[in-house]
Amino acid sequence: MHRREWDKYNHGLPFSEGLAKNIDALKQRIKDGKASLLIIDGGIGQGKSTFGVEIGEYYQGKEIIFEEQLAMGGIDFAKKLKKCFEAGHEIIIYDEAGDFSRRGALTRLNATLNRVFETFRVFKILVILILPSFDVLDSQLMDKQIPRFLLHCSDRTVKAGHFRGYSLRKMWYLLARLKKTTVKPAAYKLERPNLHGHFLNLSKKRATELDKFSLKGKLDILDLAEIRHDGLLSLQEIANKLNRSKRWVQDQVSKKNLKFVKKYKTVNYYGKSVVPILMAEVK
Amino acid sequence: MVDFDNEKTVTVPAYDIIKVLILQRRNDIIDAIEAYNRVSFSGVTAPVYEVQARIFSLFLELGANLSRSMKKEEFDELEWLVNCKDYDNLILAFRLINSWLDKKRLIMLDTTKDIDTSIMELDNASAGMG
Repeated sequence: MHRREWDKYNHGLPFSEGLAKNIDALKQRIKDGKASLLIIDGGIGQGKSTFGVEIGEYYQGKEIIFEEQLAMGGIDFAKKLKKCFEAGHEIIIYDEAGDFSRRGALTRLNATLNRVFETFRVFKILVILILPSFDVLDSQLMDKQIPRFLLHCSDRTVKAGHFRGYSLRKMWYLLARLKKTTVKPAAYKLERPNLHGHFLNLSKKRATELDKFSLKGKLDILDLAEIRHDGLLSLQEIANKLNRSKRWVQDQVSKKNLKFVKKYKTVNYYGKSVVPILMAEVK
Repeated sequence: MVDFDNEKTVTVPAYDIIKVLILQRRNDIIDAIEAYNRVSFSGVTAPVYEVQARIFSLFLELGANLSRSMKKEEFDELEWLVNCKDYDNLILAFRLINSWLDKKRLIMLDTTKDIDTSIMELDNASAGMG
């Protein structure tokens, strides 16, 4: 027998109705010009990205353009945020997508978020942050009361995912518990959430599109990780090491006819041996 | 007021003692009403003097406060009810005094604001993070 695919509940939403009221309240807050961040966290395969897309689509009332509104990793996020504002999009989703395994990624993310919320508040864009555990975020963000609520995804089944919602007030308690508890996921069960709920899977077509897009993002990160593993450096990185401008490095590289080892997208990567060669030119 | 019997120098404000005394008198009235009902419900005609005496005492205790915070006609009506020898009127008087005590937060229990914490922004606002 053909099993019907459910991507919406009877009330017409892909997630519990109680959450919709909360998103509406958030929308009003952003209209009032207050910075707002919604965090979705949970382990791998718990449906965080799916849930983020569903919330985003409910918020803006139309489908999310993945290429413009879904940022995979910190660097992508910084680029897309500005584009989102220019295109008049109401939301942007930051999906960590394995980005945190890169050294310095967290520091960069925290710095970006802090900067973003100081300058982009007036542009009235909702940021949905998807990451494995919200306690990696800078306490400054919490102090500024920017994250408004947290949705923790867990116990996903084939048909639906489950979430617990914690207000910013509860997040402080949760943070204290996370710091004390050895088994981090258990901390979420110790703090009573503001609401429980469920969310359904995306439609098959939309899920395939999302998978395709996020796989691309993850592959990009893997490629970059491979470059880092091989110890290759871009012109900018060499310039930073030598304390010279990128232009100076570029000139020296072409003067000495040094060849790049790998080209990834538009960036040329050189071997480590280039640094001592150019170092000799530094006066 | 210093409690010399307990050899403690910790004092209790007279205001708090009066509050306790008022609540004690109110409790005495409830006891008297209960005793009246116990007899009355068994089918025997019960005397109402105990209930009246106790309500009157509470009325005297609160008199100054009541006359200050009530409209003159309301206060006069309450005074008339307290002086009645009819059980129903005495209960009415007791109810009026009770609602006054509630208004003055002396017997009010639901002093906390009910917040729908399932709306997380309301929960945030309740903690001063609106």
